[in-house]
Amino acid sequence: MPDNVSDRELVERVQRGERKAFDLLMLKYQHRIAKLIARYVQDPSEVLDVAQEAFMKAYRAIPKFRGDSAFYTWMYRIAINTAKNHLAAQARRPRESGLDVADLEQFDGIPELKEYVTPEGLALTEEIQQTVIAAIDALPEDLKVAISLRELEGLSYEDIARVMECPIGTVRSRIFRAREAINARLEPLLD
Amino acid sequence: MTVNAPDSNEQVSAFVDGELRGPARDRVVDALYGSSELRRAWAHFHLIGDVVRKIGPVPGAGSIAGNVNAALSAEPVVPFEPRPRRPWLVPLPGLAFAAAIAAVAVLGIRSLDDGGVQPPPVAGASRPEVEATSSLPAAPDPAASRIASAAAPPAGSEAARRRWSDVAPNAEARLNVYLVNHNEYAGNGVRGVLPYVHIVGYQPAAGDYR
Repeated sequence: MPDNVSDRELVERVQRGERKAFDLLMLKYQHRIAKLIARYVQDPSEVLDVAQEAFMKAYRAIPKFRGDSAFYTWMYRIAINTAKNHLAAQARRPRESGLDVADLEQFDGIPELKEYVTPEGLALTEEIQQTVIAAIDALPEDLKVAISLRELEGLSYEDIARVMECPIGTVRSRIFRAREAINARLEPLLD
Repeated sequence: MTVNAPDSNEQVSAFVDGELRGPARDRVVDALYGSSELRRAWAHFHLIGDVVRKIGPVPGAGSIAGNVNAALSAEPVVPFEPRPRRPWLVPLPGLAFAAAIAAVAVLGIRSLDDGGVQPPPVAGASRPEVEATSSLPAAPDPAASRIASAAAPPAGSEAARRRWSDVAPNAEARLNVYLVNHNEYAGNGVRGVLPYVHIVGYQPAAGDYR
């Protein structure tokens, strides 16, 4: 994935002592990590706590991150371990859930069973999803194709330019305009 | 940042996709550091991708970065640590070099010894002193000679003064003939031209044969 290049750049900056680069990594991955932890931890407020703890651990360990794997792969492992430790600590306390760590491991492949849902959270999630889908549907065809090839197919700008038979600069502009249009609809929901 | 906002946003979009290289990438990262608007765009552009790929959003997750930043602000800045080397690998180059030198030394000495570059031991010569109690000369094997040399008493000792020439002059004469003949016909073991060069060391002792 080409965006690993951005991750590497940011990781190197964090390792040079630039904490703002770690902020950018968190802004990029906070939803994915929270989604991942939500497959293990049921309580939504605990999901956020565990996600924060995982990012803190990652920040403290990042000087030792050698780049043998992608940053997200490394972060993924930290998040999973933090979630499991959280569950193990919870299991030592009086049990509120009928599941133990071994049981929860089995739910890894069945996220639906572990997805936490609150009425407000579900409503906002659905609204965001519908807004994004509606915004993409409303895009002009060239922008829609460009953003779909990028976000769904994961193609590089060079490949998209080949598919759409246009210069790379045009691809970059189309993807940006598509994002701007979607973001304009999304902003009110995220305020 | 002197760049106008739309251009910066497009740069951020390209950086989201990992499509910026070199100085442009550095510039956009620096711009992201300095502008909360750009960081917001950065976060939202990623969120759009997460929604399209159905891996987001998670309610409340948008606050994670802010909360972690607040917690980390109390901590010292992470210093850069050079990549740690595996400790068991550190002495390996030195060990390998020492082992190579030792191997060359051992092989070199062996080839020199076995090859007979040194004059073969000759009974009655100054080196291969033998204990007087040895009734017969040792086999003319260089290895045996080495052993004999190693076992030889230090020069000047009582045992060293008891030479073949003193103890068994006839046996010494026979042995000298044997060694000379042997070295004339036997290869000396050194590869190359040296196997065909016979090196014979001989030092006549008192009462030598003629």
